[in-house]
Amino acid sequence: MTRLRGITGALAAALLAVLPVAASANDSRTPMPVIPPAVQGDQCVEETDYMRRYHGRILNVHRDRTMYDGIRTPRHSLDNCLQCHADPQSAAVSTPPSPSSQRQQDPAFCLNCHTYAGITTDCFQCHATRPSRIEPGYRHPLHSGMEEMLQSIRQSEEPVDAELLERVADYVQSALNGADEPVDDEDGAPESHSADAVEYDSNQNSDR
Amino acid sequence: MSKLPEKTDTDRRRFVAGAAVVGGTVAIAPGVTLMAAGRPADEAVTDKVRWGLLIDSNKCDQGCNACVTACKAENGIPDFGRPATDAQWIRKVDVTDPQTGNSFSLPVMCQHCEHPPCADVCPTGASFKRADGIVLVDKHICIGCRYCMMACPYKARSFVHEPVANQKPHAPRGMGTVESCTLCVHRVDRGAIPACVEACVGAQRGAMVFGDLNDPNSLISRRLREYPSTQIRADLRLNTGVRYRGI
Amino acid sequence: MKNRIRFREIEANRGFWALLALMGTLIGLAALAFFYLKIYGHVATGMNNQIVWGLPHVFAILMIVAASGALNVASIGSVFGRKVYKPLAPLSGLLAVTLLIGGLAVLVLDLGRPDRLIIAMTHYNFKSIFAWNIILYNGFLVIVALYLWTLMERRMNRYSKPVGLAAFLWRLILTTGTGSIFGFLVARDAYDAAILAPMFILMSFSIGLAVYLLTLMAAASGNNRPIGHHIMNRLKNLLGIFIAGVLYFVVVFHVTNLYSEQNAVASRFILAGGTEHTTIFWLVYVVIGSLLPLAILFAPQTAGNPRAIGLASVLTVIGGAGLLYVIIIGGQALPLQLFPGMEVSSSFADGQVNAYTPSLPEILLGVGGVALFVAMTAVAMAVLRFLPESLADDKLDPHYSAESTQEEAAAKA
Repeated sequence: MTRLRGITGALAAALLAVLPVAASANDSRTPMPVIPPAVQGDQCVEETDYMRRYHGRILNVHRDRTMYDGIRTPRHSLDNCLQCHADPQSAAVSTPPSPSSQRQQDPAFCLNCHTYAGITTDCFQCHATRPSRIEPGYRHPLHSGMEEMLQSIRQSEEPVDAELLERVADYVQSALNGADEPVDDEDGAPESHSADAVEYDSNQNSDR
Repeated sequence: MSKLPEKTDTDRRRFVAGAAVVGGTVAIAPGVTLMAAGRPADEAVTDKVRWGLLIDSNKCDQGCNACVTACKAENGIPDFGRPATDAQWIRKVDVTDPQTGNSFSLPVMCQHCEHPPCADVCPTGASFKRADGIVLVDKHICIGCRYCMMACPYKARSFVHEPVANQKPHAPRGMGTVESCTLCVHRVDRGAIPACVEACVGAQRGAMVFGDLNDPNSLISRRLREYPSTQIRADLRLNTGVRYRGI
Repeated sequence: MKNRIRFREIEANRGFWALLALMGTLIGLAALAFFYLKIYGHVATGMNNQIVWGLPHVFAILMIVAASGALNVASIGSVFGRKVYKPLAPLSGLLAVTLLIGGLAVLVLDLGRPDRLIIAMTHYNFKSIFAWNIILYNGFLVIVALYLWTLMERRMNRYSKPVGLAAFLWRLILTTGTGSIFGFLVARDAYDAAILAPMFILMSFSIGLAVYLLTLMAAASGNNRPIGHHIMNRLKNLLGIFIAGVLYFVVVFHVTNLYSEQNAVASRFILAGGTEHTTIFWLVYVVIGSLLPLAILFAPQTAGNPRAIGLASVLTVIGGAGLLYVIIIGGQALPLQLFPGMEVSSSFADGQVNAYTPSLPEILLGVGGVALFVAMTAVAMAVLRFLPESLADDKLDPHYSAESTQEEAAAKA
């Protein structure tokens, strides 16, 4: 009987240890993943909430378009992610991971969160961990082409969080209507990239 | 409405700018085709275009390896010094007729068949042919069974036998999957020509012509019309995208 | 029926545990080999860009082919209504399942991306014979499991015939599919022949029956359940016919190949190329794996001896492995002809006979698959009643004496 009680107690303790994580995410005692801030810029290609929820799908949709349809718009490309999110301190940007290392170096930005969530990602077993080129002060426009992307997500076979989708749709609508949401102005804005900054140059493989 | 940046247009602008650069190269370099009016970067490829190569073995020198070197550099294919397992997307083959002693040399890579046996046998559909005729591997669903390598008549494919690092952003590759010549699809998509063709021009050979087989006015179509050419293993009727002269 | 046959589990005696311990060790070594390859990649195997399928595939295909053939005994009982084979059917079904799982395990663990097995199960390219094989293998497991249920659950017995027929047909298609993996490779001279499919079916008959016989004899001797002379005799005659059948197909395959100069290249390479494949073909397959077992099975001095039958079965399996080695690896060793009749050379082994030496991890992986099969079979037999209490002739076949006198009379006539 005492033994049983002991087991129950241990189970309860284990449960208590797990619960706060689920209950109060804002509690400072709760371990949270360290998400390094973007190296450049302060806005992602889409709304942050949206990116947190759907970055995987965005990447998958763009991946298939690139691979099967040859659509190489930079906005949702992995390379574009690395422009801002690859950590210059880690091997991901500055030094290449040594060829003998078995575990491919992930940009900590992806790895930290994915390790925390327990979701493996094998992107970087094949994909470069360094962007094709580092452009100081590189900025991309925010949430452009949202409609098109919404369309593709609506058409995708995977289940969609309807509520979030609606929120995003509202957001896009307000953006389209010129509401107060910040929208980068492509023309004239110094932080938005110029054509030749994004153009991938064949002679740019300087690390050759 | 008007405030949202018109992303499409900027992409198109960029693309045209890129194509213009290539066009500049074309003017100096013989044997290189100028791309037909560029495809906007946000539009899917179609089967109106079929990319192909014409390789003239008469102009290909046995000692020249420029195309192979360029391919390795462009796609980040390392040389581990283990020829049996190192990936080779393109290789130079020296051929001698034992009857006559006549010999010639030519590069062999993925022939980008119209009916690719690799795509037929692939259990998951990872091997596929793009609408514009480029045969690729979807490495996201390649399970590394190597059946495509058994099926390919050209030995065009390599299996990545060991861990790799420092991949090029435009040429992802990883251990345990099969890969082959992509016809430098990342360059083609922005209106440029494959690295091997560029290197062949750079080496003053001009043995390789890249272009649209479906466009009767493209340089490659005109050459194919004017001179006799053949396919390797034409008996298999795979209708390859890579054609040869002088073999 | 007065004479109901009782089934009993095999004893978990010392021999059983020793066997399990040995197999467990081998499986453990295979697991180590697998993780080793997962870390270092296929560069740690003997396989390369020319020999893309190596020893693991020989092991895997040997077991997959044997799985289909192991079902023979059950099929003869259920589908062709031979009563004497019916008590032997459950073991036959069990072997079909365990052999297939063992073979598939090796095949899957050798994939470049074994972690993506789920993709192989969810993405199908229906033009690929390989994709069809995945469906055929999974379906086979399901059908044979159902079949075992109808055999071993008395209330389900009446369905055993139709399910048995389905299993029989399914496994013929399955082996056709396995053979076609090679038969459809138009690019390679050594393959690309429709005859490979029936050849694989015959191979499955002989290898499968040999494995069945070995398992039956091992279980019988470990449990003091002597096997009747009569039933052994029937099974060994069947084995002899199957061995001869495979030999016939191999002869036809090569003779038709030799007839035209274009195909003769491949057959000449195997038959007289002077490589290890020539040695393996003649010595391992023809002499050790076919002629010797045939002689053992039918020579008057050894014909009835159970040990001799056991030896013949072992040799049959070895011969089958040799033949598969020559087909799979020998077929890839032959250089691909990009320019027929020309001398070629390149940095990518064009025009060269491709060499292959299996590495230790590969061997361990393949052996581990076999160990998995043995362990699964042993455990299943110890837990469930797969084997009759007695394997004596009069227990297995109520008409034993009458039939045998008839046979003797026929033999005299």
